Amino acid sequence: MIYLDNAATTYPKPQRVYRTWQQAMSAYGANPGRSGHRFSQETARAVYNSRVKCAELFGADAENTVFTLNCTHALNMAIKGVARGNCHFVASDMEHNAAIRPIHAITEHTDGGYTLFEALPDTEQTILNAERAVRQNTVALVCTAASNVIGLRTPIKELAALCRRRNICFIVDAAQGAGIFPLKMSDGINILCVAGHKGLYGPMGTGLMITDGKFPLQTIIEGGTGSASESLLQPDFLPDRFESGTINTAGVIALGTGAEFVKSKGEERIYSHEMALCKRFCAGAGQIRGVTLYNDITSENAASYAPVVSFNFRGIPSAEGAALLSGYGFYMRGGLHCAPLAHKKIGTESTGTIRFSPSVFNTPQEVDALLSTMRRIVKQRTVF
Amino acid sequence: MGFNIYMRSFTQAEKARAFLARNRIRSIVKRGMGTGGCGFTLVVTDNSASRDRVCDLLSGIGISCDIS
Repeated sequence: MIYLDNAATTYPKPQRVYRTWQQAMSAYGANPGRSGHRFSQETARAVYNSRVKCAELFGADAENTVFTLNCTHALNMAIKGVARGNCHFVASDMEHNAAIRPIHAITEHTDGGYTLFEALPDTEQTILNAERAVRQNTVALVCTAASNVIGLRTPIKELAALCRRRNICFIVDAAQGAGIFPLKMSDGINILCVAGHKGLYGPMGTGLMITDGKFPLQTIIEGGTGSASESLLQPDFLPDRFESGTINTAGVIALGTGAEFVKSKGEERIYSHEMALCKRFCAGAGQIRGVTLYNDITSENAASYAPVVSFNFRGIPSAEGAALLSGYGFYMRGGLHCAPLAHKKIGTESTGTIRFSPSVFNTPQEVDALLSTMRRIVKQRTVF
Repeated sequence: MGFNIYMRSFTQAEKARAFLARNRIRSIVKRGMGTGGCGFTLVVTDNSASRDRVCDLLSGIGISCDIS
């Protein structure tokens, strides 16, 4: 098996993540912070240590780092938390459903609505497009750090500056960015939403919502936090305000080990390795008649992209193409990748694409083997 | 004899404990009941540290001693 579906979830995880998760299941089996006994306290401390590791990776404060179930959960808390009355949202034209569905849901019965702006490789034009979309009642600009379909990165610092000027909340969907290239709260991000199981190499069922505290958020879930228990009101302090109910303890402890792994490798090195694989893939696939590349990553344009490439075999639906590759042991995802906006942008909303997304564990030899198999499929199917 | 500081959450209490440890001041986190219901107490066990000094240090990381 050669796994190249890391934009969906990374696999394999570092050995140390598996070890931590297994050990945490028995060593930290009490409910963290709910009881006064030693077992509970030790578990709570292990969770805290993981929180610190995750926070440090993004230059955040541990108290403002909230554990979530996944990035979708974090985006829902941020988007619905910041919404007020007939408010308006701005988002890019390549958002994942994890961002655009909550925006749609929160605005569909109000007069607020939302406006999409066109994200382009040209930073200046992207900012102009975003600025034109902002209205008087805009409360937040929601933007992916990188498209999960075509890998296009967005100008985070420049968008943050725009949001600061207009006093609106800047919410970043870092599902395809966190752990893959450097992202810091000091870039001007107000709320960073992170998948734990992708670039951070943590278990599925983990994520983060990190806030700088400048925009108070309403809660979408209330309940027991183990603190301020006499009150019927949800605590107003973080992380407790957003962590009602028992958390995925073993998962978040292992997530801390994943964050530690990313820190030890360095995001620049990870990005450089994965982009080299994407460039190798594009250089080879671009030479195969019968294959269409939707984001041809080269040395010249690489800085604008995250390590994700969309392609198709001409004349073969993406799901069928992905199934053919699966038959040869190459695991990639075909379809719309839960991002119909991005597919509309590149004209593949009816066909979808096959997505190549390497991790730090993939090798150039695996890319060469994939290219060889793609040539074989094209030859067999004469798809052009 | 040491003294107690009420903390609103385990995260805050552990952050305070870790910070004081880096400043060579010993303390432990205890769960208990305060005036705000279930909560956490930072028990400063280090006899050489005064409450004023500890509170001054903690204010530097955004933790107030006056929240109970």
